[in-house]
Amino acid sequence: MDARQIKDLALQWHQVELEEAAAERLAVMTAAFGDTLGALASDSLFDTEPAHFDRALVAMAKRDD
Amino acid sequence: MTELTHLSLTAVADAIASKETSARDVTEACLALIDAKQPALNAFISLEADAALAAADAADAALAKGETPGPLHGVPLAHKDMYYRAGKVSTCGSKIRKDFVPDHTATTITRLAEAGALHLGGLNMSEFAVGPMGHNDHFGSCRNPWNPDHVTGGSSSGSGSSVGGRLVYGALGSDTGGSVRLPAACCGLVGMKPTQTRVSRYGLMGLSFSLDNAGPLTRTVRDNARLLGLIAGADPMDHTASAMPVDDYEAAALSPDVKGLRIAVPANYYYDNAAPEVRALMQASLKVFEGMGAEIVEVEVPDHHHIRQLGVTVRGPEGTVLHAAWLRDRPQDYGPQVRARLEPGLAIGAAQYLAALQIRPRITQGFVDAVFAKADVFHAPTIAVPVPSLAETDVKDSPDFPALVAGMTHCTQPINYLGLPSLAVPAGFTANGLPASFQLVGRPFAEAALYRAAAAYEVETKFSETAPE
Repeated sequence: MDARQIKDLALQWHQVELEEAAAERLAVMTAAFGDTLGALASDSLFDTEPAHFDRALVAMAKRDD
Repeated sequence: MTELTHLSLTAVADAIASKETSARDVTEACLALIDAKQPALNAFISLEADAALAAADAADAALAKGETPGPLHGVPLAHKDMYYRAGKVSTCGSKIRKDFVPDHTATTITRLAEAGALHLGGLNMSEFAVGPMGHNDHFGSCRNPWNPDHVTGGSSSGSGSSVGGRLVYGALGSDTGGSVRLPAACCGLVGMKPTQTRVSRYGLMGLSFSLDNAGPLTRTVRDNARLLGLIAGADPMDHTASAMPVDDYEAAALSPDVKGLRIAVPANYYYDNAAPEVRALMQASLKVFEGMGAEIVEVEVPDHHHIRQLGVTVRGPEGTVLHAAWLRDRPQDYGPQVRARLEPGLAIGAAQYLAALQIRPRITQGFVDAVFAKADVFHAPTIAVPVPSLAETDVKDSPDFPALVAGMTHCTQPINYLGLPSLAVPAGFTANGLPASFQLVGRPFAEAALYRAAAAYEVETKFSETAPE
């Protein structure tokens, strides 16, 4: 999304009016988010439930030895 | 009188319990020092001197009647002004909530009170816990007890300043991207960001449900272990608090040992742009560990530049949920940098947000596999540069602020997304006379191992015995 689209989105979704500089900053930032998710999320397990993070932490707490 | 304030939390608790001193004497000593130092440090937003003295008298009377003292009986504490106490103003460091009165008390505060702790007041903080330096446009910036021209680190600025300045014996802060560890590092303290689900957040102002942590800042490792042991554990009021049993952290701190401990150091990411003198202090700390029998192993940490992005992808929308109405109706009531740092969530979609959460266990597993297959703990700088001055970091929302924030949180922010425990430990001083710090990171729920290793380093170096003038 470019800055104009970011401004429109913030206004339509959240009724927040962003200043031009803020919109331009967010346009750069969100492009990086897309790249990150593109690199990492494509092979996510279909049934992974975000709310189960504690269960994952508990499982990882077990020592290998 | 002032000497009392230089005791550690556990030492003063012992002295009160054994009636070598009284809770009133200790509280009066703290209040006298606060009176002297508050104009320079600006560590407190509110002070409850009369109530604290009354509570101290009640604590002394209970002891005189033969009641068994709790582990914090009569010990004066204070906390970041976002830990709710029913009926008491909790400003959250903001203009928007300057008169906010919660109707419930944080579980952590209840647990400390049940252990006998006294409450001296609400501590300064970055507005809404957003800001790694400690600036506050509404209540005035908090100042570093080692040099008031320098930042305290944030967002738990008052927690760092008050404990470092010997005004109180310990304080709770919150850590969403480094906000316990950064002020601990800047103020020469021990600061724990526990495992993500280790401590209840009930009654704690939210910034990011998935990344917020409650944690203690103290002068010594043992003090820290005592506070974490009291606040950790399951809570029926917070379903995200883990049922995992709580280890005896203080026992770990009392059995310092690193013989045979494998300490991982990062070959990538954490030393990007590190100042040479910080790099040298980190090397020196590793030499100390080696001298005590630890083994140093180098590891490659996976995905870290992506992890920074993932953290913002999670924090952004979660912060927006809490702040959207005020961003719409009262944008002028935020400090400009705080508003700018809350805005990214306006442009992140639900699918991106959920994807960043969905892959979190896999990313954490990747770090655990890469690091803890070869080592027991992970060592890295807490801050990779000398503690900066207030003037050079007061950039508001200028184009410089994103790089400044990213630089300050470079080493701490990824650990929040990973959900791992991390303990900031004092590691000497840089040339400007301000403290340096390393963090020890462990497997999930390995807080006891971190305390055991940090205690060994503390015994060897005695940095915790050095206090600002």
